[in-house]
Amino acid sequence: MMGKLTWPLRMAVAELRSEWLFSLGIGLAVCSVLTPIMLLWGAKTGVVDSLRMRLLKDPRTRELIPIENNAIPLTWFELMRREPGVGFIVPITRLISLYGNASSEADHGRKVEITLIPTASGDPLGELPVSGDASRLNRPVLCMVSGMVAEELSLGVGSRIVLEISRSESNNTVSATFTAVIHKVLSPAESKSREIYLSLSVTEQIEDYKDGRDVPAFGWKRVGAPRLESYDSVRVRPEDLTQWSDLTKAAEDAARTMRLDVSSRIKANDREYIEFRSGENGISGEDLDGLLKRLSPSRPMINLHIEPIKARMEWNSGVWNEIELASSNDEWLDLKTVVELFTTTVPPDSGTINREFKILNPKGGMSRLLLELPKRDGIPSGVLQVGHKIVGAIGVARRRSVEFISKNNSLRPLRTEYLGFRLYAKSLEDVKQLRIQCAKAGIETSTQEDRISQVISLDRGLSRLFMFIAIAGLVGGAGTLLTSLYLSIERSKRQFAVLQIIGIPTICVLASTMLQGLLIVLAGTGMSFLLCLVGASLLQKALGSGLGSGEQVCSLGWSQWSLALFVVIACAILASLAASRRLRVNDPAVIARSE
Amino acid sequence: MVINITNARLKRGSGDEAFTREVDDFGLVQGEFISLLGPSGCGKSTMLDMLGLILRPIFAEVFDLEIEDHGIIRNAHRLSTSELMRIRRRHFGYILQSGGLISSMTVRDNIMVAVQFSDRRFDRERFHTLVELLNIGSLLRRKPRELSGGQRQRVAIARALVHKPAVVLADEPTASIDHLLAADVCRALREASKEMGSSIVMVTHNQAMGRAFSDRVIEFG
Repeated sequence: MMGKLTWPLRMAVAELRSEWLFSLGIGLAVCSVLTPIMLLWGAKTGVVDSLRMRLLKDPRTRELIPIENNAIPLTWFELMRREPGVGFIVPITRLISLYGNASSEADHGRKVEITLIPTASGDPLGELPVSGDASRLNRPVLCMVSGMVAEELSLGVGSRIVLEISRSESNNTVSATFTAVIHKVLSPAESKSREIYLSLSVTEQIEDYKDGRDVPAFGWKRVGAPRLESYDSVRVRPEDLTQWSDLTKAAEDAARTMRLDVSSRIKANDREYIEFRSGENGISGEDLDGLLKRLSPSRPMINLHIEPIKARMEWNSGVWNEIELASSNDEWLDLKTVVELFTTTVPPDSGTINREFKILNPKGGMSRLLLELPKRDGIPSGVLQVGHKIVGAIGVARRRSVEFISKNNSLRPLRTEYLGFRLYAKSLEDVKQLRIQCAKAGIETSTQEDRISQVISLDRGLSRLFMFIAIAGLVGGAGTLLTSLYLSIERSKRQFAVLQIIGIPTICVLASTMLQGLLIVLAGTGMSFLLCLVGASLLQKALGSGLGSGEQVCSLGWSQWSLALFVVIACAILASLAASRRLRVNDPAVIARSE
Repeated sequence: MVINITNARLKRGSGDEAFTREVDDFGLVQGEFISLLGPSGCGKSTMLDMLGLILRPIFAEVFDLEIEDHGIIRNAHRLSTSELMRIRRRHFGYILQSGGLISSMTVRDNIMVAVQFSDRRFDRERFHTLVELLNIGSLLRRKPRELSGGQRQRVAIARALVHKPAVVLADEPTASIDHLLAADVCRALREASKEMGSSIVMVTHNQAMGRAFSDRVIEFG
């Protein structure tokens, strides 16, 4: 059985050895056709790959830079992140640079002016860990600095850098500082000027500071900055129930003056009160201050009220629970207590835990709340009552997109649109498509398409030339192989006829001729492989002096050799099959007897 | 009766080159040595090809084979080509005019081809007996081009007999060698076949040779 199975191979080898000169000739022919084609292919790949590598090493080659200010909604960024051609995108709040000063924590004397730029996950220049985001409290701010900054301040990875920003307050220039830790120093290719990259939320908070807002996360307060609050209603009742008429009159006067809606006495849940409302936007913090001032002679008890708000509470990481946030209808505070709510800082309660809430606004958008809640077992459900101190913030969260952190009473608007972005395509080929896409959205960008298209054109041109030469070589090589095998079979025709007469299956005879062809081309390919190794090495020595590290004049990888082998084997099989047609004879006896 | 043919008609070629041979009655008994005699072109080889299941008759009233493992096969000419090939390699041996050896293989490999494809177990004793009988022991490692005409024919005989065929078909086995050697070859063929228990059908134009070594002679006009 084994003898029958291996017979075609043994026959093929025997025939090759018997006609070794002929076999060698065909093998050398295969080698001589294949070697220059492979070297040319390698040179094309090497040249183009080197140019592409130079483009790819510089991530700015794939960057699209917006030319002018645009009002770009947050939804556009979410859309772009899902685009297959987008490698990285992060919004920026302004097109003109965000400036500041930097100095070493160890040496405040030397300062350099720097530009602050937002970064995010997936940035081609580098990646800051999540802990680099200062909205996550009590963790250090991380940053990436350009080589220029690092050198001028003699800093490196792990060093602490002090960043100073300034703004105008009442015609005076005030400044604030914070310290960041250097996570990465960028190379000259990655950053050519004095730049510091911070997470988007940190740069937005710096923007908030420059725009005159408080930034409690960094402890930056503005004297006299307005409180951001909103109440669906403010309820009042007299502390002394005999004072109803005084309070009612004062309430009517206040409502008229302040243009608020006031109710008559309402009786609900065993309480009587008068309720103030103010249209869609609710009663603001300023309105509340004004109202309390006007009502203070009547010594009212106050209940700050919001209608229950549907929210989603994160119980464990990734697990969300539907819940309602509501004010307490039973908590009535006197005037002094209400004033103290917003003027004193209460230290954090150790019996509390931070929980994240999300509220969807009726007009679209979402607010994010980080509230301190008492620690408890089990998942709260139904309605969760919140304290008076944070009722107003939650009232704002219902009406506009904000971020509120109750621990430090930090309330800031969440941006819903941006003026620009940092955008990188995933590959060189994606740049053009993204530019067109941005243009369709009304955003004009500048790119390095010219530089990229030169490389792509060169690649295409060389590819066409190579294909032409490869096809010519292939046709010639296949033709030579076919002719050679045909002649070989013609010479052995009588012999094959004898084999058929004595009963050797035709398939075995066919297999042996096919194996003959295969063995010859494999030997020729092997010779070519060795010659190409030598050739590539000689080319590198002769022409490679001007190339960068990793760049090659002639680059041939395993995928190219695999493809070449596949093509060569396919040609051998087809040539053998074509030549073997001579073996299909109806009358082998006549051929066996022929001279 | 190993082969029994009645009223068969053969046709070879087409158009102007077509050739027809009719066979009224032919029988081959086990162990018999038959010579087919006649001038060139009378259809001896065509007859041999039919007997060897290479050429299929266009008509045959009876075409029976009686062979080991198969019993009697009736109307063998109607079997498929692959079935005929299988019977041929298992039960028939061939000797061609110039031997028909594979030039790239050694003498030993040439002989072994017949065994490898016959589906029979290699009988080492039979092999050595044949080699001794045919006096080719010293030639086993040589290639056919290194042998004389007579030596090639002896090797061809060994190949034809090594797999214990029922029938050996020899087509002008002595045509390309000189007279003295021809007698030796015929003698060797007869002795080896008798030893191995095979029947022989030999085509020859040498009447004297045919009559001298055969049990029976069939003359074609």
